[in-house]
Amino acid sequence: MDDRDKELDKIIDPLRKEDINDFYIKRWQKNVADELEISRKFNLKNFFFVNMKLATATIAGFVLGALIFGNTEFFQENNQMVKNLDDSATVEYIFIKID
Amino acid sequence: MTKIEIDWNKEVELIGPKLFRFFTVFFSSEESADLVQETLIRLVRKYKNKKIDFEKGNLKNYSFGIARFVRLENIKRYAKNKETNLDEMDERSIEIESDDIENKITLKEEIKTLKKAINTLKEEQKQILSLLLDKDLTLLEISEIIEMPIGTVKSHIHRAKSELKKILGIY
Repeated sequence: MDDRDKELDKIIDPLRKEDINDFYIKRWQKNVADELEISRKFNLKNFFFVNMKLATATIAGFVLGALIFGNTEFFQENNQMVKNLDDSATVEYIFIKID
Repeated sequence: MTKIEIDWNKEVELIGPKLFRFFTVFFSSEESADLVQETLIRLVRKYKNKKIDFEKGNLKNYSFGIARFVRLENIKRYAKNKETNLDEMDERSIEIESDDIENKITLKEEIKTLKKAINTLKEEQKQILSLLLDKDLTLLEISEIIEMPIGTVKSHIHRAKSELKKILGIY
């Protein structure tokens, strides 16, 4: 629907005759291309960064878990403590004579 | 939102000059070129972040929407150079496609006078006039870009026209 004011269009028409330097267009095209390139590189970098964090956290979790629960002495001691706290647990007194 | 593949070189060739004319109403050519660049970069980022809905508007309309904000953000930044810039743009930066030197000089003067006249208008009128420079934009599209009812846009156009005719001595 052409509802523009033709009289006003005629008044401002000289402003449309201002030419654009080709140099500007090429500069804009180059900067847009650079921006697209940055975005592409950033996305790849971001992808690896996020997945590296996940992988590192998983590995660290396994290592910690192995250190804590893989250590049988530690596990056994704690297991013993749980047994002692049980209601059915009995107590043994051992007396040692020291000379 | 469906991502559409875009030929950015072609889009810059189409949209760049329209944005440039939008900005040169208020700034010098060098400043306008920088602001066009800023607008296009923001447009690309919006596209990459999938924030462009092609069902609601085309790339050109989105770019004008961004250009509006870029202009407002930079008004203060360039304000201190405003007087110098208006003179600068007259002498160095206006390029007219014309072989006739006399015609070129006349046209340059006309452009200079027009820009000064437009810069005396109210903010909304200035914005609308700078968008009207793109012949392909309908009033409905302009009203969507500046987020104003179409009736209000028409009102501003009517008042801007009266003011310009008064300033330019057109009867």
